[in-house]
Parts: sequence; C-alpha cells; structure tokens
Amino acid sequence: MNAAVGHSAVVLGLVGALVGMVTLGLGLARGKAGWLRSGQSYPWLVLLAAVVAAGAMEHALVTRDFSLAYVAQNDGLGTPLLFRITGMWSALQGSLLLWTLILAGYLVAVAWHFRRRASDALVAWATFVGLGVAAFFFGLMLLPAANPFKTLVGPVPTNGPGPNPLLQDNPLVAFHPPMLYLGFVGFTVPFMFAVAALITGRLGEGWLVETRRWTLFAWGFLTLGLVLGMFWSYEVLGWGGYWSWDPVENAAFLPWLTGTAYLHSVMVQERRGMLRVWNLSLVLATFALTIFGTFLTRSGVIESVHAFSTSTVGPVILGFFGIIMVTGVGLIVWRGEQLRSPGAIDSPLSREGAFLANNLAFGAFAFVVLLGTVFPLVVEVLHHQSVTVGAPYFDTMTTPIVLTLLFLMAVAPALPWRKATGTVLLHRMRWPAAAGVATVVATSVAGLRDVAAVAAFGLGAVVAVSALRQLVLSARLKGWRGLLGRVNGGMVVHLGVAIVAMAIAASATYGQRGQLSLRPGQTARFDGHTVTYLGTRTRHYQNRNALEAELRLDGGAVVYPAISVFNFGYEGIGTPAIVSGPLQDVYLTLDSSPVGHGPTVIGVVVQPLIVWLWIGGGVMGLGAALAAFPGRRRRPTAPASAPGGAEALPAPALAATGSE
Amino acid sequence: MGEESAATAPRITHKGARRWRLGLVWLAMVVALGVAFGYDALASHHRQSLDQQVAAIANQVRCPSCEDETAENSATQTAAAVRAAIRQRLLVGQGQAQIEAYLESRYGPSILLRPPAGGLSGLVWVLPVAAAVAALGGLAVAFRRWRPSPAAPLSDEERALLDRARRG
Repeated sequence: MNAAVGHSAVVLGLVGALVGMVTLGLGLARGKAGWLRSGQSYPWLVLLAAVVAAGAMEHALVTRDFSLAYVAQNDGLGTPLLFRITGMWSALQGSLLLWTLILAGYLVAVAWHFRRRASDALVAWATFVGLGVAAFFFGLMLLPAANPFKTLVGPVPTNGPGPNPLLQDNPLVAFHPPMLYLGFVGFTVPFMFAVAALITGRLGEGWLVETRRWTLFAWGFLTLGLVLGMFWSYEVLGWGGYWSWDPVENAAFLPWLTGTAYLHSVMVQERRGMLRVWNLSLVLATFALTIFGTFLTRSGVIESVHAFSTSTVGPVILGFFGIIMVTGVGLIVWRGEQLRSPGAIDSPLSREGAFLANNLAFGAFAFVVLLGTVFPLVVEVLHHQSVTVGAPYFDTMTTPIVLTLLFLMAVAPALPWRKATGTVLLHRMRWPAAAGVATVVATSVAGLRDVAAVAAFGLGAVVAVSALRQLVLSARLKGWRGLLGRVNGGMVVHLGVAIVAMAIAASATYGQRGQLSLRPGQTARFDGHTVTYLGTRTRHYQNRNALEAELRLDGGAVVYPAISVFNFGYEGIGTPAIVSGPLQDVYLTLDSSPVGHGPTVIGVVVQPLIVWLWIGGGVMGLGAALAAFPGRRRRPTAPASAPGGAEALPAPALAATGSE
Repeated sequence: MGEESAATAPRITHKGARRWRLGLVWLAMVVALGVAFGYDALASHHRQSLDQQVAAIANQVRCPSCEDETAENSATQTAAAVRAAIRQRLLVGQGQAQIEAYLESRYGPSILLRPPAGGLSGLVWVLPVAAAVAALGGLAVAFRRWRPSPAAPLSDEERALLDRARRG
C-alpha cells in the first residue's frame, strides 16, 4: 500500500514536471500567454506529488512497513519514534524524497510570488528550468538503486536494524539535514533565474534583484546547516572536534564558499553594472556544486572509485552535472557580447576593489577545497596510486586564505565606493585597528605564542569593531531600523564570522587532549581539571544498551560518558559527556571499558572558547535574517555608476574623495 | 558605509595637526604590533614536551583503521599503536621525517595525511598557488585596462561655455 502510493506519487511528480515543461515550452515558442499561465500550476502538482511520496514514506517508517526495502534497512522495532521519522533522510533513497519535497516547495513559492507575472518570459523560463531539475530528481528515484519504494522479494521481515547508530544517537539529526537541504536546494532558485536571464537576453540587473532574498534565504539556511553539522559532529562523534575536512563536509562547504562570494560580488553589479559574467558563473558554480556534492556523497565514489560504476546512480548524477555545466557555460559564451559592461573600477583601494579581492580569496578557497577533495580520486583512477589529502593539507593551504579574508572583512566596510584616500581609511579604521592591536598585545602578554592564532584573534577583533562601528553609525541615523537591510544585516553576519574565527583559532591551536587510565575511586589531573572515576553502570534504553562511566569533574557534577551498543549487532559507539562553559568545554569519553580488574581508559579533551563557535553561527543566521528585511531601496544602477564624473556623485562620496 | 554623513570624514583635513596626530596613533599601533609579534615569534622556539612532539606527528598521520581520523584524534587501538611507535622512535632520537618514512613503509603511502610535495602529488600543492598567481596577474591586467583615460582637451566651444559660466 505504502509502496504503491509512494511509487505512483513519484511517477506523478515526474509526469507533472515534464508536462509543465512542455506546456511552458510550447507557450514560450508560440507566444501564448494562456499556456504560460497554466504552466504555473504545475509546480503545485509537483508539490502535491512530493508531499504524497514523502508522506507515504513517513507512514511506512512510522508504522514499520518492513515490506519496503528502505524501511527494512533503516527502521526497526526498537527505533524510537523521532528516529523513525528522521529515518527518511538516513540513506540515499529517502534523502531524495526530502530533496524533491523541498525543491517542490521552492518551486511553488516562486510560482506564488510571481503569480501576477506568470506570462512574463523570464518567469516562465525560470519555472521551466526549475521543473527540469525536479523532473531529474523524480526520474532518479525511478532507478532501481535509488528507488525509495522498492519492495522486498520473499517473506516480509519482522524487524530491522534501525538507522545507523550515529543517526539515532542525538535529536540534532532532526534539524541538521533539513536545514542543510533548505540551503542546498534553495540555490536552485537563483540558478533558474540566471538561466532564464541568459535565455531571454534580459541580462540587466533585474534577475539579480528578483532573486536577492531567495539567495539570502538559501545562504542563511546553508550556514545554519553547516554550523549544526559541526555541532552534531562535536556532540556525537566523540573525538572532540567539529570539522575534519572529510569529503562529505567539503561537499557541503563548497557551495557555501561560492555562494558567499556571489552575495558580495552581486553588490558590485547592482551598484556599478559590472562583473555580469562573473556573477552568472558564480550562480552556475554554486548550483552545480550542490549537484556535484550529491554525486560525491551519494554515489559511493568516496569509499571506492570502483563502487561508482556498480550502481547507475553515480553516472546519472555525474551526467546531470555535465549537462548543467555545458548548458550554463554554453549560454554564457553565447551571450558573451551582451554581457560586456562599460564600467570600470577606478582604484583597487575602493569598496568594489575589496569585493574583487574577496572573490579572488573565496575562489582560491573553493579551488583548494575542491582540488583536495577530488585529487585522491583522480590519482587513483588515472595512476592506480592511493594518496591521502587530509586535514594538514587543508589547514596549511586555507590558513593564509582565511587570514586574508579576515583582513578584507576588517577593511572593506570602511572603504567608500569608487576610490578611497589613505587619510579617510586611516581615520575610519583607527578604532577597529586599536581594538586589534590591543587584542594582539593582550594575548601576547597572556602568553599565547602561536603567530597565526594571535593574528586571527587580532583580525577578529578588527572585524568585530569595524562591523560594530558601521552598525552604530547606522543606528544613530535610523534607530533600530538601522540594523535592517543588506549592508547592516551583513555587518551582523561579519560580527558572527569574527566570533566563529576566534573560536576556531582558539580550539584548533590551544585544545588539549589526553587519556587517563583509572581504577574506581582514583583521581587524575588533566590541564587544570580533576577527574574522579567512580565506577561504571549499565543502562537500558529503547534502542540501545549503554555502559556508562561515572565521573566526577572538578569535585562537582557527576557526568556519564558512555559506550552504546545498539540492537542488531552494530559496533558499539561512544557517547561523550560534555561540560560546557563560556571559556572552555571539558569533553569526556569512555575510550575502553574495564577488562576484569584492569583500569578504564577515559579520554579527555579540553576545548577553549568552543561554545562561541555555536553562538557565532547563530549570530550569522540572525544577520542573514536581518539582511533579508527591506532596507533603504536603491535603484539597481545608482548615480555613482553613471559615467558622468564628479558632478554625478552623491554628496558623501564627494566628501570622501574630496578630502585628499 | 561609504555613505556616512559628510561630517565624520573631511573634518580631519582642515587642520594639519589632526592629520599628524592620526599618523602618530597609527605609527604607535604599528610599533606595538611589531613588538608583540616579534616577541611571540622569538619566544615560541621553546622546546616541546615529548607529548607535544608525539601529538604533532600523530596529527599528520591517519589512523590506520579509520576513514578520516588522525592517529592523534582516534581512540582506536591501531591509532594507539601508531602513537606508541612515534613515541618510541622519538625517544631513540629519530626525527619527524624518519618516523614518517617508517610509518609509510609499514602502512603504505596513504597513511600520510599531508601529501608529499614531490612527484605527482606535488600538483595538489602547486596548482592552487599557480591559479592564485594567474588570477592576481589577470586582475592586474584588468586594473591597467580600467585606468581612466586622461580627460580629452576641451573644444573651443566648451572653453567659451566655461568662461561664460566663470564670469557668471
């Protein structure tokens, strides 16, 4: 029953998307507005199909319909309700349902938002492209290897293993993947409109302005999704860290890098009408990287390059990626002449110069992450050698890029458009710079010696005060409304980045880790903390049996790091106990259970300032929300970009340039 | 940002003294920064403890039985064995290069998380630097092209117009 309903819904989604594309395509070819208007109803049909398909899967998971292969593999009698519901995104096939559900939601939101412009060719082409992406994902689910509604042959099992233990250990699994997907899939909307702009030849700033808030929305959720992913990794995986540069993390990080570059360079185009090709390329790259990330993480190619060809999923996704790239690049080349802009950037020492440098740094960042991720695969395919490109490579390569970006974030908000003079810059930067110098001196006096970390603290302070300075100036002028709008919301994001950067520098450089061998009643000291081992106890939960160590930390609270064994013979996994504070976390793990009368091994990690990583991530999300509020409206091409010279400049810009 | 009230920025130019003071403040900040960083760099050459040396090397090596964990971060027995081997070899006076060579011969080249700088894997180090240099070069060329052309000389007609405007 579940299988039949779900499968029919997937077919309905595919057919609905294809018919919608044909309707819109014919309407566009023959110039029939009525067909374009009726084409706008197909996203609703696609959403209906996605809701029914996801609903059928959730129903099957919650009622434990083990006749479905997916349910039999990712659900079990012992699985608590929450993890039965989240089971939908525990493996490839179900994740595709979540993807199509969110994509269909975005398509309907676009159709609703532009409902009065249904016969506009730009909107029609954008919907056409969006339905094409939806058709691909519904079609993908009809492949045997990706079909979520495949039924088992033979007798129906009476129980299943449940989701991977790591995916039923912490409620965060209910939030991290959906948020990440809201971000990932959300970049489809700017992509749809970019392609539509290229096809229709309406290459001005219109499509940018239309999709500005959609892009911000996607970016905000991708940011929150990434931070929640780090939080999940820290809370669940038991190694005391939050980022290990593994391919799955990198796949999610890459679109964030190009998307962030785009959010900045788009301002140059809106203000000066320049960088059109570059912005289109960034939108294309961001969307393509979400598909490429799906390929990397879902085709099995990471585990083994040879697993890739055993299923059809990998080649099909890679093929779709190829189509996107060829179409996108082809369209940009085809429109090349129209994309030329008459503008010029007068001076590297200007806001637009800083945005260019920002894009260069983000581009280099994305290149390093992409290269480091795919390099081992390429070497193995071409040369049958195995090379590991791990954290030391990424740390070495990205540290200078991150410091460069922090420097730019510190200076750029104080730079005027067009051209700055040294005096203006020195005047505006005096307080931020003083904060940075004070931080560097204070940390040095406090005994911190790592130059990169001290530089990160100092630059973080400059970034924070530079952003605060802008917010204070804006709030003085406009009151609380001075916190709204793109520029001011962006400054709140910068504040969050400064907090995140300092937290990462602190924990990456000054974290301490060790192991203590203790017998019951013994106490050991580690990095200024005392750990007393009281003994172990066993606890039985619905889905697992846990062996918990009883530890008294610093003579105070008792905490219980555990090793949990889930039903169905999965290997035991550790559950850390974390005592958080504003200055440091103490992270305790049960590394090996006592054998006979031998000692128990307790892992201890002391992570300074790490709680600020989560707080900073929240501030970034808040900033994205503030940026989405309408601030001061500006015409896409403001007078500053008019080629008239000084008399066309608004007064403040005149003042800035005139103070030489 | 760029559109701050005109009152904040230009006032400083009216008096040379203010400009001087600003310059002095910045000079003091640069000196303080130089002293702090110089002191950090000089003082950081203290000897590392044995534990720190083990951690530094174990952070560059993969845990042999894990997917993506360093030998330092992993709690598995294979990782503990790697850390023990590193400690033992440090105690007999071997350096990082020797120890990594030993681990490579014992577990294969993929044990090293930092790809070697030579041979094929050297590309992974060189390509980003080459790309960054190329991009910077491209940007320099673009800025050269963007440099505003000198204003064209005024025609007689324009000059007359200007004169009339000046005379009011």
